[in-house]
Amino acid sequence: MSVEAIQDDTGGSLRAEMARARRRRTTQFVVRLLRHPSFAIGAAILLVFVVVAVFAPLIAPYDPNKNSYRFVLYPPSAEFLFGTDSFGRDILSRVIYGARVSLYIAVAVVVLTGIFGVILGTLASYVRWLDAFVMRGLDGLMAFPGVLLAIALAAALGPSATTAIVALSVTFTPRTARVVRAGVLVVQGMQYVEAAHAVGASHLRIIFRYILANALSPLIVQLTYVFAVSIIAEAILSFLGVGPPPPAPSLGNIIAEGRNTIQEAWWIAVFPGLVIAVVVLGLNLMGDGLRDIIDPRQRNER
Amino acid sequence: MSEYRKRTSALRALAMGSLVALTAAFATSGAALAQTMGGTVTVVHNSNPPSLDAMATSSGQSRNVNMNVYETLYGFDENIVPMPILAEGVDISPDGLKYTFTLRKGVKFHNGDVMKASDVKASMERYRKVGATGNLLNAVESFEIVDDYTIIFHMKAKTPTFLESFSSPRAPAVIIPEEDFAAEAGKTSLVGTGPYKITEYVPDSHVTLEKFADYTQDTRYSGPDGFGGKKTAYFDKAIFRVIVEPGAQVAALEAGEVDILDVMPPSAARRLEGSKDIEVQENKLWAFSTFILNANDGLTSNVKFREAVQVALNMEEVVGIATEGLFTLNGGWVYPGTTYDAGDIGAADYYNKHDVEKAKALLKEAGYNNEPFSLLTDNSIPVHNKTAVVIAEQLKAVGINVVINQVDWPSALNLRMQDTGWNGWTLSMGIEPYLGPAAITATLAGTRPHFVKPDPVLEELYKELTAGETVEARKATFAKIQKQLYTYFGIIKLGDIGLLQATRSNIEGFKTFRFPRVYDIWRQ
Repeated sequence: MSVEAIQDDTGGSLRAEMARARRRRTTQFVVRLLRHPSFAIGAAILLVFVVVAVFAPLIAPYDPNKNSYRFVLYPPSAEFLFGTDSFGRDILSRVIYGARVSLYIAVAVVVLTGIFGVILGTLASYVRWLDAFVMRGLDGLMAFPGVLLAIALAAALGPSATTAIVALSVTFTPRTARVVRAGVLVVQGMQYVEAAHAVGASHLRIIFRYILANALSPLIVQLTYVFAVSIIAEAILSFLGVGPPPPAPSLGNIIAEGRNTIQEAWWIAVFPGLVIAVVVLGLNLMGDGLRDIIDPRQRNER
Repeated sequence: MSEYRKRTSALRALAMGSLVALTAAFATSGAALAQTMGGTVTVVHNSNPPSLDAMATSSGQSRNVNMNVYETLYGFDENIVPMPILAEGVDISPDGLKYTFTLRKGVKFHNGDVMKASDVKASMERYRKVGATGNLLNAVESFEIVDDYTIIFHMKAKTPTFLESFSSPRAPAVIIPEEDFAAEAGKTSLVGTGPYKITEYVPDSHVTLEKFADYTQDTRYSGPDGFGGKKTAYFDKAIFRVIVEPGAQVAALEAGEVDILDVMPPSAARRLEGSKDIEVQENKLWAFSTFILNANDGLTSNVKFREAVQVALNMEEVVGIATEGLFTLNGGWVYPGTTYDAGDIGAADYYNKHDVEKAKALLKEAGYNNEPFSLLTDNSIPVHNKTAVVIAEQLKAVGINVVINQVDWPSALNLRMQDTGWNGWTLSMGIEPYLGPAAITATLAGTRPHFVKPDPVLEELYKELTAGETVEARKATFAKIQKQLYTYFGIIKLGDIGLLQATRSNIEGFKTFRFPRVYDIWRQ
């Protein structure tokens, strides 16, 4: 008889009660998060960034790729809040669309890193004999400085948004896998996991329902970190010319284009630079808040 | 002359007016001062010279260094007319089959040996093998040494344009010692006859030249003229330093760390206008900005499609943005007002039209169905990638699905040599338009023209051009060539672009040219 059947026998009312309790816990958790000042500030910044990026076509005052010889290198003004670049393109619009590219890449990297990090980390800890193979492989990747590896990969694959995603995912997966592995190692020694084994639960069910569910908190903190670093790393790759190819705006390549005229037209590089700085600050604040709330040991230490 | 050639952008006129004034003031003050010997001058350019073996490369960076180190028998004067440099003169037989060069006596190589006819013969034979444009000696059957200072070039057939192409600095046919005859490309002893000798080469950093104390001045002239003339080395040392970032180059010049910038960004020139420390000179006729279409690959193999690209473009916008205003609109394939100027033949109906409706109609006629158009460009030369970005936007506006493939300059040179895989390529042609119609047409004829697939009509016209007996005959042929370029649409002329160079104010005597001459300049 399967575990499902046993639970079903316990009746629907208990299930509903458990679900209500779970919902209550979630609400309490969210409230606690939002009361945490650094999380709230960070989340607000990120929210603005995401809204701007998602609704870019509605918010941007101009077409980000529209060249105009008449408007070359205009300083910031009411007409062009952030000024224009050497193509006569509106920097504000380019920054807004650039945020979109950064966001797209960062989200994709977080999703891919999360998936592969969980798969590899869980495999390594749950299937003991695989541990050495998987982790030594990942150690090999970790031996390269992160961004350097991404640059090498991006250079080999040719410049594009997809390349940046692949390069950054490969770079960040080993660290994520490590975090997952550590969490899983701790949890899988717990008695309730042994109990699940004892009642004959399937491996998949044990992994998802009992182990991962309880090993997620460090992963979430790790992924906010990956998100922040991805935005910076994407900017670095684009700055070096291995990100999305022109004319697509990205925070990094706007800065790269502004670098040659920094003394004549400071606004080209400064505004996207500020945006990166603020967003990364927001993400870090949010990550700190999350860690404080999620990780009970940290909370007790304070 | 056509109307659009005269139109220069307001922005440029504004910026350049004062620069020209600066230059003029600079030139007069220079003449009044006495020259000073000694010291070091530092010139900045943006990438490594690929080779210091002058005959083996046609790179501009190599020319920058090498033309101060090596000399040719004949070279161009300031007005692009061949002048004797290492040669005393040349006697051409009436049938055009014998060129008898007499050499200047007592000219010393950097290794102390005296240049003789045997060195010339060895250099020419090496040039045939490793010369980057070795085919210019294809017209020569053999070289015959008459005595130490006389050598005869026996021609296969009469070639009226031989002396001009032989004088070309593109990959100069320099004279090097006989001992270097067997050296592979790039493996010579780097010995030449020029006023400076190479003493050190550190790739990615610098090339150091030192004054050649025993330099044999050409006393037939009163001062330097083009690639020749009487050259005097004032500085003991000249350093050619590589700084990649334009912003860093300007900063180094402002700090006084370097003396001469090979390329000065126009926006920086505008900012430094009126500066007491820095002088800017403009070289108006520096290059042709072009957009090359691959007549061999997919989309662009269709002449209707290529025509659509031609009529879609707004040249003023493309070149204006790419050069930051330093341009002249010109649809012709030589500089305006020069001997071979064919006016707006061909160009009148096609140049700078920006006719979106016509382009769309042509695309429809070509059966275009949103296939990707791969636009090859590089990120090493700012004019190239800016040109590509503006072109891409304009082509998108007529409905062409443009994908920019931006790589570094060596990769771009490599990719464009592939027969397929790219549709358009951005190129500034500097030296060819300087040399004139034959040099330009040479890149568009032959078995591997810039647009990949040879055009038989251009091929015939090129032969007609090089065989043309008189200037008049060649002019007529060149007009036909220009017309044909606006029929075949393998290469699109975008405009004539200028170059700014800058020096510290205390550098005297510098005059902008095809390479930075480090002789006949001194520090005040």
